[in-house]
Amino acid sequence: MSPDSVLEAVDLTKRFGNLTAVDHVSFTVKAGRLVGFVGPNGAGKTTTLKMILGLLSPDEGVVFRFGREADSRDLETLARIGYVPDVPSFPEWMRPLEFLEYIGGFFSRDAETVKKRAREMMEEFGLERLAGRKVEGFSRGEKQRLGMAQAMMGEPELLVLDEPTSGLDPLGRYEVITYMERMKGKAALIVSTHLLEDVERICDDVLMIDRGRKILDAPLSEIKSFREGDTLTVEVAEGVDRLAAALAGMPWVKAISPRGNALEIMVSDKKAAGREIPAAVARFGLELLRFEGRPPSLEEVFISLTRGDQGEERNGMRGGAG
Amino acid sequence: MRNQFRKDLLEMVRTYRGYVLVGAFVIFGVLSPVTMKVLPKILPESEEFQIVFKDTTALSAATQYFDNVAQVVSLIVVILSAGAVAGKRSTGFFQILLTKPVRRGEIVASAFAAHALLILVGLVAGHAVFALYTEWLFGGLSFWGLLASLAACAAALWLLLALTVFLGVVTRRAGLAGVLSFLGFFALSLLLGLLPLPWEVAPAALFSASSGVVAGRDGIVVLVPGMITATVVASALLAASMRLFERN
Repeated sequence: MSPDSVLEAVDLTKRFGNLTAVDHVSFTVKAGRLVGFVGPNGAGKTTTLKMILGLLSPDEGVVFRFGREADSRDLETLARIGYVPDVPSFPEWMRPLEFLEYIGGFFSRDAETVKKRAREMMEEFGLERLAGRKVEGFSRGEKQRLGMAQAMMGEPELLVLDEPTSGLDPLGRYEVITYMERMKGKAALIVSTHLLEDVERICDDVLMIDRGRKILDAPLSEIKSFREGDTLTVEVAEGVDRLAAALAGMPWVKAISPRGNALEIMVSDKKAAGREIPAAVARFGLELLRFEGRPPSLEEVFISLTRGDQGEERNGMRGGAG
Repeated sequence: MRNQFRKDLLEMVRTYRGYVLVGAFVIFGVLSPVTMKVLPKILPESEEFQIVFKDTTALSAATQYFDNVAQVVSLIVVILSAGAVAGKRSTGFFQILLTKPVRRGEIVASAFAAHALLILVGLVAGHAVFALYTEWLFGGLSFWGLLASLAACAAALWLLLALTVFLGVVTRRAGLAGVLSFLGFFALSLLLGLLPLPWEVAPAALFSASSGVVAGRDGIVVLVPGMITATVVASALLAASMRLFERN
């Protein structure tokens, strides 16, 4: 384990009956990095996070937190981790300030320190106006903010967020994203989500799993540069349907998406595509308006990996996260 | 431990469960002697039938009170404590709690301690009003007998609580834990009855034996074997619950 790693998962495997929910997944999270943990619903993200946190025991593999093998009795390590579950729930009879003070009581025995920190978190997450209300009346977004606040009570070095923006309205989502951006550099974050635009906007690294298997693990910048040009756009004045039909049979075409008079084409062989697309345009006598390559969006990478090459790990980008 | 215990205690007060428990003790503390006093007078008589009451005494009132504690209040204890651990395990809050720097055994211990304290408060309140009304209506109660019966009932109910918590940890289902613990408490006493031991060692015997002690008929010593059994078994169950919860 490298010295600046806060978390290392080695060969994590979890089975529920015949279903292998997580299948030999390994990754590392380094201090101060923000890791987007993405995958379709049911991919095994929450199961993986629960194993990291000690809420589930792996059937195989091991988790190291801050250099120590994970153990629920290791309170010193637990004190350095914050966690927000996908559906945070709290004792409904409590008010937010007293809940935060209760959580703070696990980190410090000094009542004044706890109260001060709880008030700071109330302010940080905009909970002051809710101070007089019981949690039972909180909206989804308000509970999410309280969830974030409780996770920060112990000033964690590793923050684990499970789907923090799901179910939130645009404003709530914006607030959570903004907060995560502010946290960058102060703590390592591992954020599970299926909202890829969020990941693309704020994450340093991407860890992608599908059907329990890791399919991608790399810095976001590396993903983009590695695959730059794999998506080509060709725009013609007319006859785009004929062109699409002609290109669809080419062996190097992975997917074609029409966009008006343009086609977005995912290709496996950029050189062949660069030769044959203009040739096809000329053969049909079409007027070429635009022909360019661009970096693929994370969504396109995600779709190509989960649809086209299911389960096949990208060896060229292994071990880069964090 | 103190932080978690404080929260568990506060939860019982804020969710009114504490009031229900203490209220049940107080209601039966008042009703038992009053019923014994006025029942012979309020029951109708007719030419077809006649109910003959022996003279009702402090012993009658005590028997009625401890029967109510054994049958009704203990059921309330089980219902209120069945979800102490089992019902919360699957909640999102428990997931948050288990990732905090708190020993998992302490979560079980503090849930037990909060409920145990509330049972004690209920018993003290129930015994106090029972003693007040019985002394007023009949007289002849033993002060030391009252204190001994308080300890005996606490030991029996704490055993029932420990059994409920233990079964909650094992079964992970509040309803199932409640049913099994109520049956298990009396099954334990029946099992002990099969052994060549005096009936007094059975925890369930603590309720019936308490009435004679309170009324001054029997000595405090009859409560000792049952209290020892209850304390030993409750301690073992609590330790096992903490250990199992740590492992889970």
